[in-house]
Amino acid sequence: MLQKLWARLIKGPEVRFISHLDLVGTVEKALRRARVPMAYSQGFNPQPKIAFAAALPVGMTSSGEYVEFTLRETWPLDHFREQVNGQLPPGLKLEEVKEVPGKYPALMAVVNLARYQVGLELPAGVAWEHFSLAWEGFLDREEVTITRQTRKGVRRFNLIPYVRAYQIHGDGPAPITVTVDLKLGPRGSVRPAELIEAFWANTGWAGRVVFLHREGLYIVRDDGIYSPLTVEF
Amino acid sequence: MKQELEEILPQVSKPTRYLGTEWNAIKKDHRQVEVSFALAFPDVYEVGMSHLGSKILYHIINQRQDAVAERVYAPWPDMEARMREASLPLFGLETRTPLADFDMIGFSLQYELTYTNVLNMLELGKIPLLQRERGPEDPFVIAGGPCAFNPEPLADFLDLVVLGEGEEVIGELLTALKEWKREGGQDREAFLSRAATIPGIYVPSFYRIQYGEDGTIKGVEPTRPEAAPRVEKRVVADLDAVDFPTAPVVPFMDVVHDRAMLELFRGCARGCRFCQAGMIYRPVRERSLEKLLAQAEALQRTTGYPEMSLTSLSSTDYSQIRELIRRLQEAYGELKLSLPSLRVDSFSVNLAREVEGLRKASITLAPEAGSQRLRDVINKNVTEEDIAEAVAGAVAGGWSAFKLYFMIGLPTEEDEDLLGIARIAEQVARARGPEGGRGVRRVTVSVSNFVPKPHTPFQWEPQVEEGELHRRQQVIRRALKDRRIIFNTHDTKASFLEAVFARGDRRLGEALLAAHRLGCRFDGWTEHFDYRKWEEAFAACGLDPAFYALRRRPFTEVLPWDHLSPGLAKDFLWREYQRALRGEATVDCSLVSCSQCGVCPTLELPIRLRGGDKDAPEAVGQID
Repeated sequence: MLQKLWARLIKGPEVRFISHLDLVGTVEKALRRARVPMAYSQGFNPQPKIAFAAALPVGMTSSGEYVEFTLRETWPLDHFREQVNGQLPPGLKLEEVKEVPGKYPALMAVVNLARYQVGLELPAGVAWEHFSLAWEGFLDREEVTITRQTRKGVRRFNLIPYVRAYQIHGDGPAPITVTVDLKLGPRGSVRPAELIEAFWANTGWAGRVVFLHREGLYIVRDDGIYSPLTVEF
Repeated sequence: MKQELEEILPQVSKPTRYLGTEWNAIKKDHRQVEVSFALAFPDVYEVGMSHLGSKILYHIINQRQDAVAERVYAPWPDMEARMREASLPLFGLETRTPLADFDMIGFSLQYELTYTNVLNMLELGKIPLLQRERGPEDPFVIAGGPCAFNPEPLADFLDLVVLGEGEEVIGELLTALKEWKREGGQDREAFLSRAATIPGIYVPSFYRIQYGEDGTIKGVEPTRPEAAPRVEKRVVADLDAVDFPTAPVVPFMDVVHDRAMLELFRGCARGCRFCQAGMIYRPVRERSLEKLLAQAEALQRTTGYPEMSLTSLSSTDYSQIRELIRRLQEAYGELKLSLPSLRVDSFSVNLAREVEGLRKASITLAPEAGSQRLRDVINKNVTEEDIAEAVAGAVAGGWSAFKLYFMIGLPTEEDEDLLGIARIAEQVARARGPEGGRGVRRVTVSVSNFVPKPHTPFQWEPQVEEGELHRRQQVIRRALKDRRIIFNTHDTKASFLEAVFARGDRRLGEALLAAHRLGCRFDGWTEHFDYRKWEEAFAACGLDPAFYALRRRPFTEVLPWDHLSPGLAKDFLWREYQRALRGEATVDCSLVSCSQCGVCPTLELPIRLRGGDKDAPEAVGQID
């Protein structure tokens, strides 16, 4: 009987430079060391069934990455979490694990929102009030076009539709923390670093990003916003 | 250091190269140990992390309570630029200790075109480049690895050199270093004198080289009683008796060989005359099946790798290869096994089919030369029939892509041999599987330029010059008709430089230094190799690189590495050279009869096979 697990994974500063692909490999190796009976895909080159909800940009920490694991035997949840945590390198930790019915949709198909915290250092002379006004003005616009270098060439798109909400914290001196909710979709998303870069370009300020953190991934439905571990299908 | 590094890392490519926090990395407090050793690999992280020898030494040194080993690799040029901007010294990855604060720095010399990286790493570590300019506060800079069998071009920069296998000698060296430090650790020469008495240790500054008017070496003379006239390599008699890294560092990023490594045996008795490894790592010594299975179990438990490589110079020659594979497959269903260095015969190809299946898109075979005549010259004991059977077996097994490796510029090579390369490639492209089987989709033919190496039968041979190599490349290219064949060649300038340094002498140290000052580094990487700078460097020192690469040496000439011995008798090499020129093959000494290479009696060491019907005592008995 296959067991399908959804888990919340923390990515700390120790491992923030690990790319998404390397993170997948690191978790895979930890599962093997922990002797978790993973289910494998079919084909010439079978792979353990591990699926991340959404790739995290390099350099960012996160308190809410979500991963789906499929086991070929049933393991108690606490046992799974403890065994895997014992084999994860410092900075990576499974915080919560939940068993979900096999008929549940794939995690990556339902997660559609990412919440980020961005720490900013403003240029000298720019007060919090200035920043606050400029930020609101920037995101109130109909269109802010950004360009992205992809393998197929340069892609241009409007980032505004991707921004669902934001909140500016504190009112004291720098650094300033902003929470931004960005939509994730099958056609991609906008990265917080791109958003900030466009903001600097727009204001002409030579500010600096102090930290980038993903607080979590969410599922937005008509009736509200859910965490992947509280949602019901 | 930590703060500066945190600011630099987001700005460089692949920052995980510089973290040092990988799984199984060993972090020790330097204040709690007596000696610290930096295992330096003069190439980028991905290459260095794939090197088994470094893993072995990391493990062996860190096993000691009184010592610490940390890893350091050549920072990629983007990182180097940032480090220089921030005046950040090169550091050991685990604790970010500056290189200059280690007691000893050991470079692994795998490839001649990494020599400028050795100098660059020392400079980034703020360590005086020249051995004679180092003081009591500076680390000892040492080297080992295959190129250490002719370390002469690096003689000015190295305090000492380790010849041969490191497992045992590294312990003796560290103990000597510890004692020297306890006694005050001021007189560097006193330490070197002590080290020179350890078998396998060569101290270049204890030898005077005299040159004749024609530029050749007149004599090599030890200047101290501790310095042996001829330094013999170290070799581990029983591989089961030495520690093996069963908990190696597992990199976060994808490195060149990203898999667990099981080392089946050392040495190779096939006797290919171009192959330095086959000469300098003799004799063949196998690990026992039981030991290998125990090591495989530990590797599985500690690394979590999905793949394990059965490494050796010619893995399918392991006398119990079938049994080993069967037991591994039985024990670990999902573990993928891989066999590097496949021999060109149906046995090896079928074995590869069994263990690798069609997981790998292509199969790699190395016939090395295009005609039977030339394969006999180089003693690559592979027949046309072997090749045909290997290809048929591979096609029948379902492979549709082939990679074929050849060399050009081999001694006695003629156009007929080159056309033979094209002929083999065409035959492979046209190969058909059994009824209904698919044909071949792609054949990649890679042709490298032969570089004569020290301690091989071809050490007296000139390298073929550049223009002629280009012509030979063209001969093959023109003869290739099939559209499914992809033809790759190697940069002749890089091969030339490799040939210069492979058989160079101490005078090249000046050119190396000049090239380093002109900014040469990562010479083995096409995107960083700049031959014009090298020309400038040679010209500035008044050295003619052709003297080293393109000259035929007489038997009587003193070669720069004659006082360094991997156990081979020089007259064996010469005999093999003469047999080569006559096109006579020499058989595998571990299978048939002794070829009198001199290794077993010199090192007082028998061939050690572990398998059923091949029995070690008999093989050794034939020497007497």
